[in-house]
Amino acid sequence: MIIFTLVCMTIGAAAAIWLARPLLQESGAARLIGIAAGAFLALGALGAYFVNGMPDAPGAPYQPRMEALRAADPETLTPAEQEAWLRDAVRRDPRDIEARRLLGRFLAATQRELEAIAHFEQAIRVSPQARLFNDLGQTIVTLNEGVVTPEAQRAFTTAHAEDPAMPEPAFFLGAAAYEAGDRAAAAAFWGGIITRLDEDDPYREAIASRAADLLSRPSMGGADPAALTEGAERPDVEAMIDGMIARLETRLEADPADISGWLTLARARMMQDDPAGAADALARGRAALPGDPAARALISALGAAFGLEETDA
Amino acid sequence: MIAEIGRFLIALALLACVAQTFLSWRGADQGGRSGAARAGAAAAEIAVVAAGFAFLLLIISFVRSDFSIAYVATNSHVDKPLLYKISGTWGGHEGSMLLWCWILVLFGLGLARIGPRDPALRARAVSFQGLLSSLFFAFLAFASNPFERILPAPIQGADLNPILQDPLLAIHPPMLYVGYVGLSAAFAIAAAGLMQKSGGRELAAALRPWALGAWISLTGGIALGAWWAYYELGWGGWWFWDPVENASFMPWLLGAALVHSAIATEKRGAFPGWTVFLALIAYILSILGAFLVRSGVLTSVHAFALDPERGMWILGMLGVSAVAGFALFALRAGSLGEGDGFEPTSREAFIGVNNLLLAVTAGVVLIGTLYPLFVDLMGWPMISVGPPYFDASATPLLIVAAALMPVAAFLPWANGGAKPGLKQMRAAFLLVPVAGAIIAFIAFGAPVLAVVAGGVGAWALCGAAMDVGVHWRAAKARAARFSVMGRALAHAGVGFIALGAAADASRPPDINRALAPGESLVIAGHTLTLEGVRRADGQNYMADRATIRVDGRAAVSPERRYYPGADQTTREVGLRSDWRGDLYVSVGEARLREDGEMVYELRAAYHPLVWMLGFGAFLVVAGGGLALTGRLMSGAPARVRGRSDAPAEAAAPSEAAEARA
Amino acid sequence: MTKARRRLWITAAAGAVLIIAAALAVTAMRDAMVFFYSPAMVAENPPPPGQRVRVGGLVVAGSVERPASGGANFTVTDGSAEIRILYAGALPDLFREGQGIVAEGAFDEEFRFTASTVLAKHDETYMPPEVARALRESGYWQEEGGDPTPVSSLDGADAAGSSAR
Repeated sequence: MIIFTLVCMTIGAAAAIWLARPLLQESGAARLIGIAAGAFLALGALGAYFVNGMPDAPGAPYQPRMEALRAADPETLTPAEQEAWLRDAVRRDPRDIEARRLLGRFLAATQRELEAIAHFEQAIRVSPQARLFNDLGQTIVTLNEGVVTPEAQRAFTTAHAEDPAMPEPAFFLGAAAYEAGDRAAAAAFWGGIITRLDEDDPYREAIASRAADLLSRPSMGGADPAALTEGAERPDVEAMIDGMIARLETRLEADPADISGWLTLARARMMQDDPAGAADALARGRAALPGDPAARALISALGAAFGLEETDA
Repeated sequence: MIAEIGRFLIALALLACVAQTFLSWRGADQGGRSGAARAGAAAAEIAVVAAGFAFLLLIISFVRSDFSIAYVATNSHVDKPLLYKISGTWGGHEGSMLLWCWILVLFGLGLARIGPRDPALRARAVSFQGLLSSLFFAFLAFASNPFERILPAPIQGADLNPILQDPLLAIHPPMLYVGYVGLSAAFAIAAAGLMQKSGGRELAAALRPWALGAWISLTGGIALGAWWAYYELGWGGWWFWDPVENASFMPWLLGAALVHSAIATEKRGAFPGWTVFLALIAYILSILGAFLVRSGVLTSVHAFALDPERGMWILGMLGVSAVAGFALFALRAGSLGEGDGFEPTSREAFIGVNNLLLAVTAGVVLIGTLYPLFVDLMGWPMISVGPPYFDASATPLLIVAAALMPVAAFLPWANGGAKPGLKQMRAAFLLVPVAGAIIAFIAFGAPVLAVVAGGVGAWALCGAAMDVGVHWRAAKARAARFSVMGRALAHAGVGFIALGAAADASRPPDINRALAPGESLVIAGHTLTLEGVRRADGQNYMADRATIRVDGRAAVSPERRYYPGADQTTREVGLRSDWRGDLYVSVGEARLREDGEMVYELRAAYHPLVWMLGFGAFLVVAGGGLALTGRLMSGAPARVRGRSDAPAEAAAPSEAAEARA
Repeated sequence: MTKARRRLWITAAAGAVLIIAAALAVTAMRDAMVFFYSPAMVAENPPPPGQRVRVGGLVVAGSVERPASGGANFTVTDGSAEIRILYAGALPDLFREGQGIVAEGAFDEEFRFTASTVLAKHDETYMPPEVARALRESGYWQEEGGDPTPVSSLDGADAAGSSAR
């Protein structure tokens, strides 16, 4: 404030003298005009300045601000400051993949997926790690509103190959296979990840129940039986479900290793209000796939979802 | 603190302009050699230094990314390249207004140093320039202050509009503003001359170099803007008859009229009132342009900060300038005198017709630009007036003006006679290439207007060549040769522009099609094959760069960029130019085919002879520059006379400053 | 030539040029004037098919469809009605969902609007004036302290950046 005042006063005084000088060299009225003009200039400028001036407001150049931010406790930062902090770290060391990954996740979480993807890709160029590919794939999926695009699939495939124990890539690869209609591959991915995860891992249950739900949906015609029940004549739906069960039974006769088939069968039985039949289907499935812990896990998950006791056929 | 000092400097510059107005006025009353007149010049110096330092401080604030300044926060970003941090200083409304104001006071200082020879006229002109500057500095200080603060400061800026992050946009606005604002000097001299009851000839001689300099700069600025629109907006157009473009085109037309009529007035005393009137209204239309561009009253393809409140301020300044200028004109135009007589086939007559056509064109453009605004104010159903209106009204008038242009150079002053002139020009002989051009345009299936424009362009080019051939040897003095060369070059530039515009109007239709890598499209006989698209990120943007082979050989690489700071997408055009024309490709959004294949939207166009537009504009600028040089060398170089005429005291302050340094 | 005759000449020439220019301007204006229609106006009293008009409104979030052949189709609204716009050209870079745009073109017999030009501008506070007026008249949009924001929850702007890929 004091320095500012001094600077302005100096400038104002210098300008006033410069302005008045030619008049002061003359005599009489001219001198008076010179003094008046000088005073008008300096005082008027000060007055015009104070119309909206904020002499106390400090400047906030970016670099000093960042230094202050770096020194601060990260816990106390606002989200905007955290973002600036991360960007600053990335700017200072472009190879700092930890900061880059955090920044990418921050951006992905705030709907700036494109930028997030660019950061993940740059981090991958420095160090091709499974978790970075995983982040990349997930962000691409979010950007495309849940669709696992070929690009995302490539990222997940790489991540899965690097670290098969990581749950998300396997889950999304399964989702991609499921979307493409390859239920066996989807079941393999999902089953594989379920068996690799610990019993008490929260992901395990979540993935298993989601996988069981998807795999048990009837696949023919793409029609959802739940939707069909609305409005349609009851006998028609009954007949449809009967037909579906019959076809499933024949198919499973020929290929008992079709886990999706068993799950669908159980679900169809449940729709007929036949819990015993559903439990029986699950039990037969378990028996048909004895050496497959993944299939067992999926069957258990669906059984749990239907509230059925676990029985062996 | 830097920001607050900047604000103080703007306030100081404002007060200096006010002091300049009053002191110079008094100085003019005392004959222009008194202490008051010198104090007025000192005030102009203070304003220049203060505004210049304020501008410098604003640049520093941009470079340091001081987001506590609202203007910096809305127009910059830490990750922006340094060049665009600096050019961002004049990329938005407030900063460009500061630049505008600085140029105003620079012209004020210029008038004080090398202005009209008559010291009283000079002091009066400095006073009027002070008035014009005071208006704009008040607007800057109180309604558009670039040093406005926001507290607490945002941590990151909103970035400069990415389409403005372009090297050309770093120089286009300053050049344009020198043009707009330079016309203020012509206004100030004209108003001062009316006040002093100067004669028309003297006045025309005094204001012509200023008008010419400003008009050259305006030409260059408009040309750069058109070039930028051509390659940056990605639509392949260079002139859209958009309100913002019209805003610069109207003062340009009147400026063109002014630099010609000032010659006739200076040399022969013809139409003195008209010349002075043009000098007044050209600058008023500059302010009107600023109003149209900055108030947001019209839909435009060009971006600018938009705020109706600012519009009212600019309208106020427009009103003050117009009332002051026209009132003086109404009261004093009689004192300008009458020139010598002339025949209808003399050069004066042709200059008069050229002026009439240019001014009427400006009026027609003005109507087309303002009519939608008028309709909106009346609350009638909203309309827009687009290129078809201007093509049907302004273009024919300009074609007629260009057709008469080459003949004028061969006509004698005063007692005309077109026949000897046309004979000297070998007009009949020249019609052969003109007919060739017309036949060529017809063969290419050009629209009627383009055929006519092409013929007129060829006519103007041949006429300019003949002008040099005939008059170069006749002109013995170096200054006269500069004048001849300048005139011929500028007129040849008009010819090139007409040819280029005609060629561009007859181009094949653009093609907009989505292609997968490996696929091709054909335009104007060229096969474009999309090779692939890959990432090519920059410092503050992400980009997809397409590689496109042309006829299996050279590749062009248009880009589609996303600027996260501004959250905006832009295109970088891929161009392949040769003397025949530009192949123009831009890449749009990606999309998926049914089979899941990724395809990219390409926009391809072929612009034949488009270089002629830029080259023509360059020739107009170069020709104007030569004419200005010739004018300064001949008879009365304002600088030299100014020094010798002015008393020793006038130079004293600067000498004193040098001695002290 | 006498002064009087010269005056006569100048006046005659100026008068002739002015008359020609005025005639040019008037005929050109009649042919080239393009009326603006908001979606509500189209619903109420549509322009005849084939007539060049401008329409405008806010781009409805999620309505933008990009055919594999190129171009883009989208819907604009003023809150009370909607217009589907077909456009074969490249959208301006500033085009985005939830933003005000103006399109110039014509309706066909089946009342599809085919645009030849689309004007869009991105400035947080910017709205093409004709769109702003139409929206104000429909009560769909209010100015709050000079910071115009759509009253409805049309916030499709987040997804706009996705077009870069």
